[in-house]
Amino acid sequence: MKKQTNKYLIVALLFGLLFHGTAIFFTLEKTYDALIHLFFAEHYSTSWFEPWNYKWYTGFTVMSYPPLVHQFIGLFSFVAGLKFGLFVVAFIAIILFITGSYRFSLLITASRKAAGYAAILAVFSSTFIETLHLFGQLPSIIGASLLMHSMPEIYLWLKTGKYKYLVSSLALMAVMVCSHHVTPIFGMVFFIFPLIGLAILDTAKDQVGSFEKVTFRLFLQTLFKLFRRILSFGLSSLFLIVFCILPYWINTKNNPITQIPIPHGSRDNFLEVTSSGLVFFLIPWGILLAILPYVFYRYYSKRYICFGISITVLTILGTGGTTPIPKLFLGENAFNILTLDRFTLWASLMSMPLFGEFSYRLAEGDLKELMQNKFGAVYHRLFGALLVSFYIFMAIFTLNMGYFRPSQPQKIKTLPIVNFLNQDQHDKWRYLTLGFGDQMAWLGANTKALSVDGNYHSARRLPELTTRAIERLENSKFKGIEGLGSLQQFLTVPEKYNLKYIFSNDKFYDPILYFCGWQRLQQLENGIMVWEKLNVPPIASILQQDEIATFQKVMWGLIPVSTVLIVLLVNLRMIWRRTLKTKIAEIPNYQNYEIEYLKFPSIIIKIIHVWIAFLILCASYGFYLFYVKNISHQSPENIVKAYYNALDFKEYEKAHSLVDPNNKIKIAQFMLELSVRDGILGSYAKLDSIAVSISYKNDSTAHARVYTEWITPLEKLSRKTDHDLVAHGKKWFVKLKKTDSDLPPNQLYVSNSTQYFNHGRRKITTEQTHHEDVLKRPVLEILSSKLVKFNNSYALIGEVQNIDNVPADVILKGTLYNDDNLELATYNCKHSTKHKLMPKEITSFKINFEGIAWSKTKDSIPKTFNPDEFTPIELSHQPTKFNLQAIGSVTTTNLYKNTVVNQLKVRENDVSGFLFNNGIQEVTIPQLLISYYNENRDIIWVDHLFLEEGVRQERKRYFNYTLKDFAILETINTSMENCFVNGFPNATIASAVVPDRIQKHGTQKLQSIQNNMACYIKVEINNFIGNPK
Amino acid sequence: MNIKSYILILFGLCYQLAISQNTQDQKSLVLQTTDTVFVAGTFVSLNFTNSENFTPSLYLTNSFGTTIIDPTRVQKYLFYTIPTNIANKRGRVNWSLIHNKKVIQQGKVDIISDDIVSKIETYVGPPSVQAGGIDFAMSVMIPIDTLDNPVMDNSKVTFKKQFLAKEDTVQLVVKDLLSYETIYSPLKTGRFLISSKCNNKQSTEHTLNVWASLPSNFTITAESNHNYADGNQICTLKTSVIKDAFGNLVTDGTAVSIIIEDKNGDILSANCNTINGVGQTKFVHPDHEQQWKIKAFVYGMAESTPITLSFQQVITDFDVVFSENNREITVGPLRSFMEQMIPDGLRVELEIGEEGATHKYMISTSNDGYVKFILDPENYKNQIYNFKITTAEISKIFKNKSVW
Repeated sequence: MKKQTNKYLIVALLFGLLFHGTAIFFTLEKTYDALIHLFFAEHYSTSWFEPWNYKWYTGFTVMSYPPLVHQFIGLFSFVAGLKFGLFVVAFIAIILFITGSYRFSLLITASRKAAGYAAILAVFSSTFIETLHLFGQLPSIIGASLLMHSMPEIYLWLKTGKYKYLVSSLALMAVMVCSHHVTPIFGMVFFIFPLIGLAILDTAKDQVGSFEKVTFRLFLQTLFKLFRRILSFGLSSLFLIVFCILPYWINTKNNPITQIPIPHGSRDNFLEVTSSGLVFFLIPWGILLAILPYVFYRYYSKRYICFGISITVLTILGTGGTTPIPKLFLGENAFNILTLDRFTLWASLMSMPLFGEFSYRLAEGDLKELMQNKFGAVYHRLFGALLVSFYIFMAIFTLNMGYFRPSQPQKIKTLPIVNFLNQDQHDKWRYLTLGFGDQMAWLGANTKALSVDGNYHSARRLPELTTRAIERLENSKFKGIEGLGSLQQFLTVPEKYNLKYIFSNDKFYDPILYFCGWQRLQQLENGIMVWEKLNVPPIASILQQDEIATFQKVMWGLIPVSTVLIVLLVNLRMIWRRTLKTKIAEIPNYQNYEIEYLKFPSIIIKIIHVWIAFLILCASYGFYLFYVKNISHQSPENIVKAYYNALDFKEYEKAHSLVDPNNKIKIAQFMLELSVRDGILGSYAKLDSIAVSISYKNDSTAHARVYTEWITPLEKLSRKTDHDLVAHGKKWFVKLKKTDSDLPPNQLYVSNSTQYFNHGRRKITTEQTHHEDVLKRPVLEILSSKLVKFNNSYALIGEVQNIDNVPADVILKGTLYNDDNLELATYNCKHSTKHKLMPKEITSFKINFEGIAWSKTKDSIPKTFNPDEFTPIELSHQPTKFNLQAIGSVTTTNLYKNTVVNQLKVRENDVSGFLFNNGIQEVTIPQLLISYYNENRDIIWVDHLFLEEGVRQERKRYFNYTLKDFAILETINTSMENCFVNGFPNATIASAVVPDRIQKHGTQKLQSIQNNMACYIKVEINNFIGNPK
Repeated sequence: MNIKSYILILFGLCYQLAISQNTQDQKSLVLQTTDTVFVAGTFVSLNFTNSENFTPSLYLTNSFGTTIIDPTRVQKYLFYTIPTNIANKRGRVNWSLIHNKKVIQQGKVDIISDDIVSKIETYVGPPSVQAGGIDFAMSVMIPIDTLDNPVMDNSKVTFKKQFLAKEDTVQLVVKDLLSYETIYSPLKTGRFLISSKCNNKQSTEHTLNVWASLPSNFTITAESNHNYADGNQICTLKTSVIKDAFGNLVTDGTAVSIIIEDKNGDILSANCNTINGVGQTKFVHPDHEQQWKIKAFVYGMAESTPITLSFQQVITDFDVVFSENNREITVGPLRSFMEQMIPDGLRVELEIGEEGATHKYMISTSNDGYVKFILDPENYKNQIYNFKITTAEISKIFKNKSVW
């Protein structure tokens, strides 16, 4: 018999390459993972045999991910760059997937036509499109494709016992292991075990003539007969799984994943979190959901029974947290580590052959006949058209998901950042990106500078990161308060990580950077703002790395590529014959089991109809809920939520349309009134949750109390706001609140200010610091400092003055010791101080000693963590002494001091008053520093308050502060003998510069209060300016 | 003689033989180079004659490091050329001839620097000092030759400095590789320009800034358009020109804290930075009769004499109208000193008291002289309330008002 090339397969390949090949250039770089793979590839392209990479997480080993795909991208990159390598490998993945689907389908259905259909359908299958174009999981795709390729070989080995099949199947297994370690392990369970069952059943059938006659006993007998083959294959592949990526397993054993699991959408309850349901359930299944009854019907026939069990388990596991079954099945631990969407991926891959079969039967087989006979030709056509159009819709929708819901920020040009890091030796420090999304990986691949952050969470090493469920610092705002808490630790003690530069693509982080003592350096031409921290030492020239044995390095560098060479070598003859038809190949054994599609059971067609009707019903209900939830004017609850959401997403036109038209406020006025409300709540808060309680409602009016929680970079804010609502007809509207009518007296006014400029380098030279250009460190004086214990945590408090003639950036670093002079803890002053001081200016300060949050037990993670709170350090001993280092550097920015306390009133425990901004900059976030003093006017505590709204020029801002209760404040040490300024003893430097200091001058005029320990307070102001003019 | 003595003699003979071999080696080598002092950068070679046929190595060491070299042999002459990395560095070079792991001869040569000065390395630090004659900076000058060697001790260095109208010259000599001069700060602010000269070679110009010393006491003044407490106009507080003890203006940017104590003893505060010695800040007038005691500080160093500022009450009375079932309360007109409507933004507080419940407060700001409060039926049930309306420290009380 002359064998012809399967036309369907050719069509599938052509379509596949055209369709994906075109789309890939618009999608792949925006996917979650592609750029991470590029980063790894860049590593291999520069140091093939050295697995240690310093660029992320203060160093990690690339042996934490199977290398094959990365190495190939790296190899191809030598032709025309990294991205070229990426696309070449993606093309290979596309070809492998389509051909793999074909071969797997042929194995299962034994029908070349059905397999051809399956190959065409695989091209546009939403699960493939999602994995490639949305997730960019190239290793996963290649692994799965190779699995599908290896299945016929394994089957033939089991069935025929010919060693060539054993060799080729093992060779394929080896490549699979090297490209994605999870695929062979789970593939073994969910694909290869059922395949073994299939092979046994087929062998048994051969003995007795039909599947009906195969008994369980015969099954067992056949199993024992084939046992040697099964065992030899099983053991050899197990050996390959271990051997091919042995360094990976050694690394996993040495650095076990002790991290807090990172929440993943695939573990959500899909009914509750519908977005996860869409991405991790609906899209991967796609149209397959509609024919699920057919898939189950076929897989539960006797021949495929093992696949039937497998696909059932996969389907259930894929439902994530929707039902409790996956958790019970996998156990708590595995459930929290695995991403469950891969089960759905495999289930959909497993359904592919039968989908092909179904389509074939529907298009030209017995199903067509059945439907035409039963419902008429028109119905058949309509049914087909509906399926096809839905299929196309799913494909296009999935492909363009990134357009509807961008998963990444706008593309950032990395060149200006790379240039910045190269220039002036900026790469001698570590950097951090904020708001870059996965593009940080691309930046990482392009620069030789090192980052504290990284994009491959399994490789995180610093306990500050591994103890929290955050993938990376870069997007900490989306990880809520937990992420921000982690970020704050890095910002407060940057010298620990040699972190000097931050590239910020998100204004959200500005306040936290400012209040942690960072300053804006410049805006790059791509719009990225560079922040820097003064006085951070450069990275040591020799960095620590984990030593890895040479044999591992050699294995890692050579085995993966060799496996591919071996596969090519083993299969070269076969591929040659198959594609060019040089010799008539024998028909593979599995094709003997082709069934004739003669009579489609009509019960199945009924079930499918009922099932589709049920699905449509569910979908309609879902849409209805979605609609009801989203029509804003429908109910008082809706209108309030819609109003808040519109404001949160800055959709002012929408917000304006929700406002009572009787208010007669034009959109211009509305926006003007909103723009007036700058401040932490207006400009830097993200709405975290909203609850509306309607306390009063009649037909025309209602009163809503809105409980909102906001995440801001500085602290978590809970607000309770009352709104009056009004209904016109059936439509509800929000009544606008009255705005503050304060009118400033001057239309135009003049203000003079002192401004500074530091040349940095006057002489253009590459000398690290040209000695003539080095400025003297500003001299500071620590006026007071003491160690206190309040609410079971220790703090260093005090006052420091800049006694020099130039403005100073002040870093205060405290260390605690016990009686035996054992160092217990060290930390920097975070935001309870003014970091920038003008000449002769004083600031109070408080240093909290933060531990690495929740490093003890993962159970203790508070459910509601406030980034302003901190984890007090666990001290092994009682601290009794302290050392305080004040370090000054000349600074020229963030010196706006024009806000005054214009009114202050104390009513019992309540301090109220207003601030007045008399300068020409708008203060976005004013911070009050409140120092408490005892009756001797000695400082006893320092507290702070961020005002939620800003202070505009020549305007007032009222504030209210509740005094602290000091029932349990304990002073531990007041000795200032270990206070140092710029490395010199404080006492000597102070007496040299200010020999005749007027003692307690700063505390002569204090606000008196009635409090059990404190008698006075002092209020200082620290101004953050969001948009300096 | 017993056997012991034989052994001893045998050892003795062996030793003698070895020694004599060594001394023989020594004797066979004669140093021909007579100079022991060389100028850095010249060709330095140690030449020996050797009557024997062995070639010892020359071990060289100076303060920069150590090396070992082999000679070129021409008949019985051995030429040891000192490598430039040693011959170019000023200082002592110790040499030893080594043969068969034994030192057979040793000596030393001195490399001295060239007299031609190519550059004067100058360091001035710290780059700024505080006026007053206590603080000081130091200038260190190191004249060096073309090969980067400091010139010999006792070379003359002329040190020059200019400050205001004065130029000084000081003669210094190089001692222990360098020369230095201490520069005490003068009483006036300004800048020193510093240079030096050695053997006709001049240094570049160096700068030393003199900042002002600590500020001394000063005075403070207040300026305002009027002295009415309208809660709107702005009062400017200005310090006199703040100078240090020597009459210098304090540095621009010096922080002055201005503290106001009002008649209730509450503390208002501001921070301002001086420009040309004057610090200036602005406060809004209070909205009710008030006395401000104002004093300014440069903490720990200086303070102003206190001044007092009084503000006259402008709002003496206001009307309150209840309407809409007493649920709408209109306050006003609120009139200023010329009977004009008070500028927008005056705060009015409404305190709502009800039997057996904590008092509630509502705050609003005036608009065109009026303020309106609305009691919504959800928060304020139909019952009897006591109201207290306060603005500009004037309160009006309405008892037992029924709201329905």
